[in-house]
Amino acid sequence: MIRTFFLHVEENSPLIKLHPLLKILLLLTINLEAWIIEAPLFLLVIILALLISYKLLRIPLSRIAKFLVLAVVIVQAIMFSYLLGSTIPGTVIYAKLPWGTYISDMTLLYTFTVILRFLTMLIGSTLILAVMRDIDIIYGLKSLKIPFSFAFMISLAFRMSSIFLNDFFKIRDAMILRGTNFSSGNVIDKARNYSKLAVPLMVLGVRRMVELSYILEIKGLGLRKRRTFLYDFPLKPYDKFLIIFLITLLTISIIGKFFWKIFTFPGWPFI
Amino acid sequence: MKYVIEVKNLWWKYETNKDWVLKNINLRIKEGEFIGIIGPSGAGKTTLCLCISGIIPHSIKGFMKGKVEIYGKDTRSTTLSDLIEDVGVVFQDPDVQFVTMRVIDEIAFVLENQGLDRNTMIERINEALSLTGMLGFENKNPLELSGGQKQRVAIASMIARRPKIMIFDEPTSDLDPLGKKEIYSILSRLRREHNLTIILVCHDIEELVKYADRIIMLKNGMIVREGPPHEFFKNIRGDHIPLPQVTDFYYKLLIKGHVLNQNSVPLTIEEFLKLAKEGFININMKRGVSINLTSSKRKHNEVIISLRNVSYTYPDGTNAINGVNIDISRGEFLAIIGPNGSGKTTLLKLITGIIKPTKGSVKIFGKDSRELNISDIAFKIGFVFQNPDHQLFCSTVYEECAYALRNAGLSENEIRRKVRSVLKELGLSDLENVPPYFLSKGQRQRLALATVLVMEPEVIIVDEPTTGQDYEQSRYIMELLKELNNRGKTIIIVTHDMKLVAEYAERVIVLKNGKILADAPTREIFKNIKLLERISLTPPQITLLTLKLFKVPMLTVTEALSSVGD
Repeated sequence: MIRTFFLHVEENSPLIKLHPLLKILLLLTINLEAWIIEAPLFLLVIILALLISYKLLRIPLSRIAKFLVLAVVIVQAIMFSYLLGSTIPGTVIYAKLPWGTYISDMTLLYTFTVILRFLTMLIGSTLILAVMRDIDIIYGLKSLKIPFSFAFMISLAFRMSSIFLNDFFKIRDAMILRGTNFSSGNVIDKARNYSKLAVPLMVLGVRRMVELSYILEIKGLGLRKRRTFLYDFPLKPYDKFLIIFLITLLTISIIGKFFWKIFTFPGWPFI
Repeated sequence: MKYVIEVKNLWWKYETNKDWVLKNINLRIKEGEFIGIIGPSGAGKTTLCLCISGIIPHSIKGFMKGKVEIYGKDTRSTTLSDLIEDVGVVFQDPDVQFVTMRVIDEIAFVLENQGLDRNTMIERINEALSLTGMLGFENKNPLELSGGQKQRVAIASMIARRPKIMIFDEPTSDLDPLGKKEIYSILSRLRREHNLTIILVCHDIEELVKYADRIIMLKNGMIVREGPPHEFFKNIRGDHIPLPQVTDFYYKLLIKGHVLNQNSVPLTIEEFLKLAKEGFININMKRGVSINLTSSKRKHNEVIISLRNVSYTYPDGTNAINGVNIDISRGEFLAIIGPNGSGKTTLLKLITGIIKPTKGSVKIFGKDSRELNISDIAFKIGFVFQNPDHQLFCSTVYEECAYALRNAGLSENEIRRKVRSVLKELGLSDLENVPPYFLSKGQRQRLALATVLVMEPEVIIVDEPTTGQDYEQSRYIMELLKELNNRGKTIIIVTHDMKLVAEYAERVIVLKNGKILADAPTREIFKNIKLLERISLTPPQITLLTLKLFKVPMLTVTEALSSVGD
């Protein structure tokens, strides 16, 4: 098993072996596709394909379950904002609201579509991030000619997230042990309780950053003009093929949406 | 032998500080010398290390007088990149020191920054891994290693650069005894095989005297005592210097007139035994002294916390606790010991009700923890975290203490009375309106304790009460816990410090792999050397000494002294 940013993954998962550049391109492509494509049917196909990929690529589906609470909150927010605050014309109007907005059949379909776009991003990003390590970010961004210092900072931010989460749970436990009830009360009470977590988290974060800055200096980061790299990731033929495939896919999506109009909302029946 | 480090009339203060942190430091260190630095918190130990490494004045702003020379190069006029070629530093917290996700990448990181070619890097990585005994761990995530292994990786990443000077700033204070042993063995090897100049800051005086050529004590930014170990500990007259237990025993025997030769101060058990054998220390066990090995002095009958066949499995499948049975009675002083990862913290979480058992039952004051609301338990069981920063989140010291009382709905008058009383008890009255994050670490630790004491819980649990604390702060906290215990409170501590366990706890639970290896009175545990070896623990020096001298395990120096005949 190999430890990635967020979990342990089977060493022989095909995704693990992908070139770092491809992992980054895949992440970008999935999110861009979810942003470009507006037609719900195509989005459903992508989600289905992504879920099958989890199985084929031996990435535990339970990864998504961890984000379920977050997903439900965001889905709720999307639903409320479109259902209560939009004026999307449709063939049938189900309800007219006192503040001037209304709910039509297209409101429902569009809300559903936005939720699908969000889920595509969540499921797709989770799939790729589940197999990413710091060297993927560093070497992937290096392939894109991004400066090392920038790539390193991004990888460090991901790595520090686990330490941040550990602090978060410890402080929350400490608050519970001093009589804070996070599970009851109204939204404002909960927000007030959670906001108290921000202070110690920030202080701990700043202290760690100060210490980390000494450590990076001691480790010689940025002190010499020339930096070498232990690994070399040459692009193999299938890597090149996949890069071409991803670029083609993105191009077709853009052309399909803006010229052929097949990926635009509602995209049903494909026009 | 030439001097590789020369500190001349060094004064330093941070830009944000009013006072000088280092005051007129003069220090010369020879090549291959092993220097131990001790001193209370805030004495300037870390600042001195940062000055020698060149981080001060290059990366930290402040005011500097005097100078520091490394191999004749003035740290002010030499670039940091040139300085760090010669100096490596290992800090206290291994988790913060890692910047990559694999052991091999961690070591490669410093070599890549040096601009070395690939073949040289591989050669240096293998050399560093071999020296620190970490070959075979290349692909492991450093964060998933044990405490000792983590620090070994931190050391490997520094020595791969082949520095001539290594500075260790309290590298063992967060480690369990096994981790400490691992680090000391590496230090010894570095010294023996590579003739490195080593500076070690630590509070573990009994280990330090075995390795250091010279000990330096800092206090209030000044060097107050300095010399080779035997000279350093000679003629100590209540100077608030932490002593190895055998040395402390020796001085107390000296006062009682049992020492015939004052020229040689023993620092280790072997040295003490040698002096005794040669007749320079006249020591016999008092007649009629009997040590009861099987029971503690006090009897506790009322069980307030009861764990029956308790197991706990984390969502990722880790079995942290396996079939544990424990009864904790009112008024006990209990210590839970065991190596890192043995389940100590999980056990504490079960006792406090933060987590519920996956199997078995935890009864707290007669009620199943599953049926109890944690906020109800909070006023019965108080928990002090290892890192005080995890439990301080209010705007002032007063508010911090008032927080739980407000949650409980007490009146402002009642809150004021309780808060002021507890702040007075902990010596924090003058700091009522100060934000907690402006306090020193020792003060923050006391405040964390105050936030728990103000709730007047019947059980007080303290996770590593003295980690990172100096000798005097440690004693202050432990004496306070002892006083609370005398008042009838039940105290549970988790610690790696066997001296504390021996001196304060009356019962010890030994955990390993989530199971109880032993649950017995403290003396009985410390007599069982084989059991302790199984979990890589060592009894206090005085216990080992009295076992050899009298075949009886004494737990403290005072106890040992009281059993010496005239």
